Amino acid sequence: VTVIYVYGFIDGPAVCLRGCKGFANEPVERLTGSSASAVYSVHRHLDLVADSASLRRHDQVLTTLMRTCTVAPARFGSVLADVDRLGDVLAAQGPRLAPVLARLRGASELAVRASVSGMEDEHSAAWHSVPSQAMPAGRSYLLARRQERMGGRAVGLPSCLAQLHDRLASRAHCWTVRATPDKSLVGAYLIARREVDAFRDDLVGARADEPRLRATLTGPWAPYSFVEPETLGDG
Amino acid sequence: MSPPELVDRGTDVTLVDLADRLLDKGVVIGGDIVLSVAGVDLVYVSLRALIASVDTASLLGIDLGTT
Repeated sequence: VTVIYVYGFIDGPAVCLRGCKGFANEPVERLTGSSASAVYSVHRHLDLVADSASLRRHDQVLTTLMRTCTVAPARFGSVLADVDRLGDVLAAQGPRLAPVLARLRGASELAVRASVSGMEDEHSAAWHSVPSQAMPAGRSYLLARRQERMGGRAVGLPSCLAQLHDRLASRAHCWTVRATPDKSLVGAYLIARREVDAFRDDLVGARADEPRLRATLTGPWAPYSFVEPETLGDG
Repeated sequence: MSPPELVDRGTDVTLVDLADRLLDKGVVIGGDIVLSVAGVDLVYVSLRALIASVDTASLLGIDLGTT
């Protein structure tokens, strides 16, 4: 009995997957549909755990693909019984994936976390002090995310963070942003690859303009946050 | 082109960003998914889709508790 693990969906029939390794160093393969291709690996046994190594492997596959094609990432943990089932998925979701891939073409996701000195609280300090070699326990992680989301609905961003967001968003195709309970900004911005350096420079400039501003930028990521229709029209 | 990161790929912040994306974002496809978030919870649901995200857990009626 085998299973297939799905990393995501791509365009570009000429994509080279040679040397691209997935979980357990299994080769990454492609199944081409009429509107998009799926990228997957085949496993006799897959004991999938959402630890840092597995998360990074999933991301590494997508990062490799991003060099040569447009990628719509699949949710971590997407497993199907066989390639026939994947073909069914491609047939069913292809019409939806094609415009998503078209929208993502030539763009990457950048992640920004920003806060203003003096506004942190104990929750923030605890949440950001994640052990370097371990994920937070599953329950803690999920609860923290829920608390962030619940707080995010009720608490707005401080004015300087709102201004920062406006500045960054002006370069973005679209974005998603939320305020955490400690009034930090957590944002994802879909940026044309040619604008990545300028986006980074904007953030560096904002930090220079406002000494109280603390910010981190990570990426470029595969566009995880921009594959759903509701996020595609935000910009 | 100079590197765009203000933090390295291996840092805690990056790992949090990575987890936020992989566990909570991305195209959802049908299938059976077994997913353990390291440390405590093992979630198994044989449905069209399962994601160990807060929103999805709520939709599926999974009680995450309050402690």
